[in-house]
Amino acid sequence: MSALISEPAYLLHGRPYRETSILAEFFTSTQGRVAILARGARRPKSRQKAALQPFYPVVLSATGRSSLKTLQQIDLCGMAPPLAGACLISGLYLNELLQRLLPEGEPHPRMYTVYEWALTHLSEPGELEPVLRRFEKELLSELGFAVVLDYCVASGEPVLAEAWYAYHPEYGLRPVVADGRGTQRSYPGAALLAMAQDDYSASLTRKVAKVLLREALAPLLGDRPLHSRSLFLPPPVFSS
Amino acid sequence: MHFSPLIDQLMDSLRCLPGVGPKTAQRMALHLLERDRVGAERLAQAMLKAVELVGHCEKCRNLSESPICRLCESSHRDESLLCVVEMPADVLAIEQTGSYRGHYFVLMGHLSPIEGIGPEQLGIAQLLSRVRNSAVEEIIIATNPTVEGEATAHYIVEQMRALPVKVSRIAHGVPLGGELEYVDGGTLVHALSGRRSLR
Ligand SMILES: [Zn+2]
Repeated sequence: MSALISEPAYLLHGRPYRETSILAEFFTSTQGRVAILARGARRPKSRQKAALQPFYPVVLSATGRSSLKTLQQIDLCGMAPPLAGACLISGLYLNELLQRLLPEGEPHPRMYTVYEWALTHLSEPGELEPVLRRFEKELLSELGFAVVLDYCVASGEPVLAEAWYAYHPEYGLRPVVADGRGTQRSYPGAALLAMAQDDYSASLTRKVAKVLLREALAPLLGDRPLHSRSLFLPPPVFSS
Repeated sequence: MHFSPLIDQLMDSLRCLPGVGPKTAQRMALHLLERDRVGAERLAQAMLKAVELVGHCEKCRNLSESPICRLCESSHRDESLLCVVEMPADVLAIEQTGSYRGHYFVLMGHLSPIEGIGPEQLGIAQLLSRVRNSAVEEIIIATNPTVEGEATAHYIVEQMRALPVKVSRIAHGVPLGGELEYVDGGTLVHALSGRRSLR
């Protein structure tokens, strides 16, 4: 890892550090996830504070070769995407995924582009779920755990629209007899093929994609749950 | 240099205070021991007592040494208004303006998935039951104008959807007396998107 000079980046998370500083984690365009200390950023008059918000595109410079760099300069370089409501929570989910799964200091320029694309498309009408699913899919393949959707890796047989399949994180898809009673989760081939084309227009595909990608991400996340997922739960129903 | 173990321990302990580094801690410790032992004893006792007896108000979660804090017990407050804030310091800030007469609910933080702070830690269920079982008519969400503060506000609004109360969000934008030229971009963007119509 080297110093960062005028590096495009997004803040993934910032936490208060000591009395006046912020310990920030950025997703940078060329060095991936990087920890940077912003000294004095919590002072009332700090001009850095406004740029230290998630989802705002920034350009920053930071010194230090170690794993914790020191922020020299940071400037907003554009408007944040208009994330509000559920899109905002979804944005926090993307950040939590990156923070948990990207190894520190490992360059992921392709994922950076995907992240930027996701942020700008999340708030488009009807795009929330498709964007989240494509992001999860891209992240898995970026980390070397691509989900192969159009053929069974073990046998080389193509996935058929009318057949049913089970998924295993290591061995991929495998045809199963779906009788609705099996203990194993099974997915319809048609939805898998649509997913392979990133076509999420059918609600069945969206449902399948959500469950399947969650299953694929589970071994990478281990037993620590993703906290942002709980924020998607529907509000309680009150009996009057 | 090192002092005797007890003095070192005192200096070390003082450093848990915000803004107190090794130099200040040394000055404080020596001052207490050389010039103000009575003050030192009072300080020690006040701290022990506060730590032992101050908990959280059952109604608003603010710091309080009685099960229900004074503000919640007061009969001079407007029962129909409930202001939701992140921290006890926010209650103080609003109280100092003298312009708000309603009640409060203190979340003690904001949603932060990465830090593992979710609805449970913020007492959202408690907030909902408070709203259901009281005369509250309007909730004013006064979480900070940060991304996490906005997410928290959104989450609360969603959770209250089924409740017959008015929910509002404090306005934020250009500070009073501020000049646009010197206001940072993020604040300006916020101020623009939160504009209100004049005619
Ligand atoms: Zn109270």
